[in-house]
Amino acid sequence: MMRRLIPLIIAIAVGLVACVEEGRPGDDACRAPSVEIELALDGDGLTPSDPAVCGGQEVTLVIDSAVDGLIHIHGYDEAVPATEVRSDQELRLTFDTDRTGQFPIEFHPAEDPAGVSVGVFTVHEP
Amino acid sequence: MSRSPRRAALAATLTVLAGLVSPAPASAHGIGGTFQLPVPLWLYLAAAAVAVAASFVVTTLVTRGTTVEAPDGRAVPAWLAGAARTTLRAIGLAWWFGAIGVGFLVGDISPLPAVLLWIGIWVGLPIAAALLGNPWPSMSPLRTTFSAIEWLGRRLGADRLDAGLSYPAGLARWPAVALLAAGIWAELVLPGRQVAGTVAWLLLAYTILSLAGMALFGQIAWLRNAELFEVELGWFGRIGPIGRRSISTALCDGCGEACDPARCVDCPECAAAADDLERRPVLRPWITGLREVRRAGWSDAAFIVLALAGVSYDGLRETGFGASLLDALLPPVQSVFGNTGTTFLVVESLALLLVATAFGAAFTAIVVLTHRLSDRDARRPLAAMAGVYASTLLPIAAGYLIAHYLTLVIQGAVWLPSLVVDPLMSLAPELDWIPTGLVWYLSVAAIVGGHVAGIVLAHRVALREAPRRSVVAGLPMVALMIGYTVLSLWIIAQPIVVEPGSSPAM
Repeated sequence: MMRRLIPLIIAIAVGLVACVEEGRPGDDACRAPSVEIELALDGDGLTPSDPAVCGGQEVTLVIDSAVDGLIHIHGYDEAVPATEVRSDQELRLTFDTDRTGQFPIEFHPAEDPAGVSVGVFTVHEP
Repeated sequence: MSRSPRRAALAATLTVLAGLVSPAPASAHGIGGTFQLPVPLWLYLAAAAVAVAASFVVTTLVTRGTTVEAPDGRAVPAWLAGAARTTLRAIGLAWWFGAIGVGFLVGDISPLPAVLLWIGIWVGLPIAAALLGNPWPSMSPLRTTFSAIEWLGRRLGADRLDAGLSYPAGLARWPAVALLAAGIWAELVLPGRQVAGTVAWLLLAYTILSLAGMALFGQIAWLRNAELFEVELGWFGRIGPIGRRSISTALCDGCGEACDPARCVDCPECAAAADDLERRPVLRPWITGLREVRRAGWSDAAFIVLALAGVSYDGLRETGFGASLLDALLPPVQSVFGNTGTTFLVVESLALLLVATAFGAAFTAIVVLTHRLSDRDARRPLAAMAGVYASTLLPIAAGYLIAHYLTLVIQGAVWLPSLVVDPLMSLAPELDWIPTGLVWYLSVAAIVGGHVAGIVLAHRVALREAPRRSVVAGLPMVALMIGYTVLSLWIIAQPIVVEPGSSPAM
């Protein structure tokens, strides 16, 4: 009984283990002093919705928007104050990543002051 | 890693729908809007490996040495116990009625009531109970209020305040299970759950319900079986090193536990029944309180498994898996309710229900299997086995509770003093002074430590219930615990995705 169950339990554990993936950029990408990420914003949200960088980098987010409103990164407001985006205009936000963590990116549509989470900005340990 | 645009679309849809229902919904977890980095892959793998290895070492090598009795514990001096009791009672009253008062008087802009309820009572107290001991029998504002009303009634000449209805024995602790389900739903799904006025209404309604319950069935019966914090903190408090010993042995009549009248420690019924002077705290090693669980039943098992499911769902829904689950539920619900706020509510409620059902089904299957594998002549009824084995899951639940809410509780503790001074101070404090690595290690250590404690407890139960085939009979539970532990570790190793229905944290 025991002999038969052990492989099953190990298989379950390995199966669950295999489900995790490392979201961290590679070491080379982390060592780069600056990084530029292109993002598209529309009524459905941000694409890609999970931009990830490392601490201590100069980051430029290039946002191509199809909608009007304000965008800000919650918890990263000191480096990136809320900034207006206009449809059909490219917005470039350049800042240094001085804190690590996961920060929701929020969009406040022009006609509706309530914010909407459109993505998550991740700053990994350098 | 790639993220499907559909998922973002879903989140946006849900958010807009949520917006229809309330001005500022956000998850309890998101009150402060702080999200630590996910645990790195290597640490996750190492922790999972340690959990699996420890399980087999404990279950295959430890085959003897089960003293049934837990150690007696050292008595705490009476003056210290009295001072702690009075302090806790004052804090309990100020905390509970302060939240209600601020909610109604200061207005919805204040985050204070939400911090007091969702971070303090809902998350902070179970963690405190597991780390130290159950404060609720002294602290409970519901108990204090009812006792005060009773005292007043007696002064006015009334003989007794309760209607004297006898609590139906068949109900067991199902009312507490129902109230826990309602509480989890309010914490995770209810629109506007962070709004001060909503929090105040929730607390007021629960106060009235509890007082009415105590008035109908008597204080003791209601606290034993229906008051959700009494039941929940009673369970988590059995992990902590401060136990509660009943001095008056008459109180242990009808106690659900196998209490020796000479030493009735932490019997939840006694804790609910005893007056201040009839109980006193004792010190004991962690976890030992859980060694005495004997007569729990299906309602206790349901309560514990539901508590596990609730915490896990809160973590799970922030992962890609959670988003896919909501994604899958949205279209059918939308076809019935259209683009309305109800759709959002139904989708979230269904997802919660699905996760809770999956947890319940997994646990039931494991208990039935364990029952079949146990010695035919020695085994006890299935319900009793379910209750006792469910209690061995509590340390893992406490471990995951700490891992999942550690930063939130620290944030609440830092935030609270300034909020009390100025209830309108709506900016949550930053937590960037806490090293990311420290949070990782504490979280993983809490989960793996809880897992090892759970395995040891379950193995003791197996040795007791199935002395001749303890290893085999214990295996299904070991498998369940490994599965739950690895799931917990997996959740904290996952990046968050756009939180469905979330808008800026307060």
